[in-house]
Amino acid sequence: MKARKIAFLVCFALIGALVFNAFGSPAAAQGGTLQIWTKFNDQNPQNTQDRWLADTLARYRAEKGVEVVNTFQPFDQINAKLNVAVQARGEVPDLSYVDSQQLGFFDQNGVLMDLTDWVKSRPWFDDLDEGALAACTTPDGKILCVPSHSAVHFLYYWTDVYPDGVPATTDAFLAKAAELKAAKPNAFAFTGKLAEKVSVERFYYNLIASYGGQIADEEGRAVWANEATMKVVEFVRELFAKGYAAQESLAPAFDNEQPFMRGEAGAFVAGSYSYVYLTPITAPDGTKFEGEITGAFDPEALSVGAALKAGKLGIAPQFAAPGGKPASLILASAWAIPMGAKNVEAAKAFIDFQMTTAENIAYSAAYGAFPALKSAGEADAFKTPYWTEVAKIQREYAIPSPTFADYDKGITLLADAIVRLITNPSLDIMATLQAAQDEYNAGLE
Amino acid sequence: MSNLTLSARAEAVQHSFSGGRKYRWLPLWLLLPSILVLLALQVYPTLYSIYLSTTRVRRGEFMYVGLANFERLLRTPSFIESLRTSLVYSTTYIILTVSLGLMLALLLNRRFKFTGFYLVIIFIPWVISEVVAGTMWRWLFQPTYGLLQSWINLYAPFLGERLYTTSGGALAIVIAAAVWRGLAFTTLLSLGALQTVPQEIIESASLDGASRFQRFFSVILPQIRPTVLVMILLTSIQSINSVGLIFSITRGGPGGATRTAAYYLLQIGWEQGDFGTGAAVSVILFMINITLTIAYLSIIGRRRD
Repeated sequence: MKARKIAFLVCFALIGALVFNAFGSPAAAQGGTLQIWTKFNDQNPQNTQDRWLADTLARYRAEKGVEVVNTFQPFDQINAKLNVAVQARGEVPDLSYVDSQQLGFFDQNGVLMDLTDWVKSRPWFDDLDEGALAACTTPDGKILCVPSHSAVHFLYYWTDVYPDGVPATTDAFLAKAAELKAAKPNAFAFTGKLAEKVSVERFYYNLIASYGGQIADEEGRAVWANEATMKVVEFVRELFAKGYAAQESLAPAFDNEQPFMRGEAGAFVAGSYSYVYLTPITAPDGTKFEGEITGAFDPEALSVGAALKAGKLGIAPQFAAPGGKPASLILASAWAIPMGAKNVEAAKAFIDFQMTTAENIAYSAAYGAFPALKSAGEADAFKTPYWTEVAKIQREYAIPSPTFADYDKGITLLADAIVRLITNPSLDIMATLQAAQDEYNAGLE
Repeated sequence: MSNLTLSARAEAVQHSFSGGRKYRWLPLWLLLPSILVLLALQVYPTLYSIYLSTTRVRRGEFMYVGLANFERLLRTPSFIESLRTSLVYSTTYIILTVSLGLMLALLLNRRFKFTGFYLVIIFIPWVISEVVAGTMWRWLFQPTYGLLQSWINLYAPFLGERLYTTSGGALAIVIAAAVWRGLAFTTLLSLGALQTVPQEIIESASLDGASRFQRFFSVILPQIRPTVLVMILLTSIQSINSVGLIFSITRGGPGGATRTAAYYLLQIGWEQGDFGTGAAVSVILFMINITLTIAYLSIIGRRRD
C-alpha cells in the first residue's frame, strides 16, 4: 500500500513538473526577449540547418546581449500557423521565417507588416539580388519580407545509371528509361515527389512551363486545363504505367527519397537544399556515402558532397519538352514581421544582423541555397563545382512562382487532379483538369 | 430514535434543500463551476464556429457573407467527394469494429486460459497514439519494402502490387488501421455488457433447445442492445471526426482518395487558412453528429418504453 502511495506521488510530481515546464518556461522567457518562429530546431539539432540556427542564436546573444527564443514549427505548417496566429489575434512572434511563394496568400490575408520604406533605407539594400527581392515584393510594389536565399529544383542522378547525363527531353528520357528497365527490371529510372502540393513546385509546374504552359494567370486564376498540362500528364502516366518511376513517388511524406538513397532509382528531382537531408546514400554499385553533420557547414562532410566528389553523383536541369527549355521554380526563404508583433525594433535589429555578408553566407550554405546578398554569392563556399552548376541552372532556367491568389489551394487541387489521372488511367485528362480548375476559380468569386 | 422521527427529519432536510427559501439557489451555485467550464469550453467555441462560418477573411478583416460559405461548399466537387469518402469510411468502420468487437467479446466471455493476457493485447492498439499507429501502418504497406505488401505480393497478388498508392487500396489500409485501433474499445464495452446478462436465461434457453445462433440473436442481443446502440453512436462520431490516422498514413491521398470531410476541414481551415469555409464544414459535421445522436437516443428511448 505504501509503495503504491509512493508510486502515485512520484507520478503526480512528474506530471506536475512537466506541466510547470510546459507553461512556465515560455512565460519566463518572454520578458525582454525576441520571439522568433522558424522551421529549424535549435533545441534538438538534426541537420546543418538546425545546427546553424543554434550557433547563430548563441552568437547573437554573445554579440548583442539579446535573448532570442525560437519556436520550431514544421516546414509544411509554418506559413499556415503564422496566418492562424495573426487572424486569431493570438500570440504572434516578433519575427518569422516565411516562404516567398506564399506572399500572395499573406498579402491577401493581411498577415505581414509592410517593410518597404525600412528595407529601402538599409545599407544592405543595394547588395540584394534583384530576383530574390522580387520574390518578396507584391505586384503593387510592397516589400513584405526580407529574402535570405533562393533555391531551385533540378535532378540529382547516379552516374552509374546515366554515365552521359540524364536525357534532356521527356521523349529521350522515356527511351532511356525503357532501356534501363529492360536491363534491370527491379530498378527505376526516376523518383521524386509526384503527389501532394509540393509536387507542383518541384516537378509539375516546371515541366508544364517547359511545354510552354502556365498554371495561373495574372489575376491569380487557375489556367491549368491546357495542352501543356495534358502532355505532362501523358508523360507521367507512362512513367508509372511502365514502371519507370518508383511507386514511392506517390506516397506521402519523404518516402519518395528512399529509392534514390538506396541506389534503386537512377534520378531524383529535388531542390538544392535536398543535399542536407540525403544521408546516408548508396550508389547503384553498392558504394556507400555516409556524411556526418558537423558544427560548421562542410559540403565534403555530407553524403551528397562526398558522392559528388567521388564522381558517383551528378546534377542536371530537369528534363524538358522536346524542343523546349528546362524550367525550375525559384523559391526564396525570407524573414518577415507579422502584424501584432510586440518587439518590432528588436526584430529589425535581428534582420540587420542576418543581412551581413558573413551571416548570409553561413545561413545559405547551411540551408543549401543561393545567398540573397550579391557579396555573399561571391564567397568561395559558392564557387565549388556543385554550386557553380546550381548557379547556372538558377541563372538560365529559373521561373517565378505561379501567381495563385489562393496559393496552397491552387497547388493542392492541381496535384490531386494529376495524381487521380495517374492512379486512374481511364479518367479523361482534359475533363478532370477542367473540373479542378473550375473548382479553384469558383472559390475566388 | 424511532423510524417515524427519522423520516420526518429526512423530509425536513429535503424540504429545506428543494423548497426552502434559504437553499433555493444552492443547487445552481453548486452546478455553476461546471456550467461555466461547459460554457467556456463547449458552448462558446460552438457558437464562435457558427459565427465564423458566416464570414470570410480578406486582408485580415472578417466580412459577413451570410450562408455563402455553405452554398459554395455544397457546389464544391472535392467537398462532396469527401462526404462520400466519409460515408464509405464510417460505414465500413462501424460495421467491422462493432461486429468484430462483439465476436471477440463473445470469445473472451467464455473465460478460457489467459483471458486477461488476450485483453491486454487487444487493448494495446487503443493506447498507441494515432500518429505512431498510422506511421507503422504506412511502413507495413510501403510499395517496395513494406512487410505486409511483400506478403500480399507473394500470397495474394490479386489484391494489388501497389495497394498503398491506389485509391481503393489506400482507403482499405486506412480503414483496416482504424478498425485495428478501435477494436479494443468495442470489445471491452461488449464484454462488459455480456457479463451483465444473467447466466440463468442463457441456460434455460439452452434447455429449451435453442441453438447457439438463436441464443445470441434472441436472448443475448436483446439484453445488450442499449450498449450496442451506444457503441454504434460513439464509433459513428469517432469515425466522422477521425483525422489523425488519415494524416499519418496517407495525408488524404493519393489524389484525395482518402480525404474524409474531417480531413477536408483540416486542409481547408488549417493548411489553406480559409477559416470561414473551414467553420462551415465543422458546422455541417456538427449537424451530422447531432442528427445521429438524436436518432440513436430516440431508438434507445423507444426500446425502453
